[in-house]
Amino acid sequence: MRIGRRPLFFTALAVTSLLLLEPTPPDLRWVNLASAALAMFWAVALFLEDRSMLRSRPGPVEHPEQRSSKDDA
Amino acid sequence: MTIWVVIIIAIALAFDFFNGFHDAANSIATVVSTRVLSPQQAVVWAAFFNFVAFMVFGTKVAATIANDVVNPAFLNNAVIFAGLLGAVAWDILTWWIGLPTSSSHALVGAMAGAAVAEAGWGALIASGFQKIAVFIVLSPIVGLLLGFTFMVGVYWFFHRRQRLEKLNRGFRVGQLFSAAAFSLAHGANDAQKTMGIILALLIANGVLPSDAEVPLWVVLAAHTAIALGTLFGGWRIVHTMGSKITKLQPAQGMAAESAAAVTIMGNTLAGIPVSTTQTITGAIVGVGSTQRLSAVRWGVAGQVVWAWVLTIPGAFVISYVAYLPFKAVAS
Repeated sequence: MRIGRRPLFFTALAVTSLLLLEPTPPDLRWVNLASAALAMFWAVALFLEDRSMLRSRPGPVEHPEQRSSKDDA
Repeated sequence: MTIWVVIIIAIALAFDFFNGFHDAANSIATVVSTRVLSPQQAVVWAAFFNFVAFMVFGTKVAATIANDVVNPAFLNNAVIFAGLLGAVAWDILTWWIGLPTSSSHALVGAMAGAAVAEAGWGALIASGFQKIAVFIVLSPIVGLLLGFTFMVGVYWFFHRRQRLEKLNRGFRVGQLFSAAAFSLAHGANDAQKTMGIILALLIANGVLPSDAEVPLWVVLAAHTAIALGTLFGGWRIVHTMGSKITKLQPAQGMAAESAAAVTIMGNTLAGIPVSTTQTITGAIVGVGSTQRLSAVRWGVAGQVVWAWVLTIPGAFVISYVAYLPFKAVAS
């Protein structure tokens, strides 16, 4: 299964926000959690969008020459 | 008040003036490039909102700069002077190189450098430093995520109903408000850094008690300086942040400015000094990545990461060195 660049990018943002959780003052940690949640939401949404686009894309179109060579065989 | 105090206040206000001069382009670039306002009208618009910010936000950022970075017991005229010198020198150096660094982070690093030269590492307040360092990275990320979210929201709510060309005409007016919000946020966060320095100076010289609030004349002077900087400098530097990172349409400009404004206002209310330039850069990257990641010019976005890494240590070293002659004279 291939994951696009944008879902990976947003996952990296989520991970960075979570890595910063420890040094963040306790009263401000909700900022890290909210940004990690938002980043993960977009990562999943973009992943699903990529997948649905791949599925809805029509299969490869055969070149007329390829078709005729198949017919000959 | 001694002549030295007056001179240092003048340098602090000059720092504020150049901050407005340099950063005005961030808030007016998209409004000018989409011809909603002329460059002259745009700088007046931005300068006005830079100035009135003092009526909307408190002075928590100023208190952080004055009390939470360097132990106030080690702040004296020479430390503050060397700190300002280091911040200004770093700003000029990075402007010359073309690195989008933050004046705010330079100020924090420079004050720390001078204080360490005066009294060693014990002069720094670790918790305050930690809070600022975390939000150096977190603010552009929040700006990016909000920029992306706002832009997707715009597409969902409006683009399905109207063609993008027609939509962009409507958003040209919307940009007036987003630019105003960004200027308000910029004025609030950046002017308070200067207020913090002046507050620390006045406390160090016994002009104010250690638990004093920022006096009104300091608030007005700082906002006037940043607004004048915007007024005089902005239209010369309409070399847009927008077109440098990704080409923006009015709807995108509005989403990016709104996202950055919300991020900076949140930080201001929490008393955290952040970089307005880096936050709007994050927001523009977020808006640009709604199209595709390749729409973003990652070279410029990468420079921001270098700016994160280099600014505080760079300004620290310069002000540390700048303080040494004062220490030699004193000893």
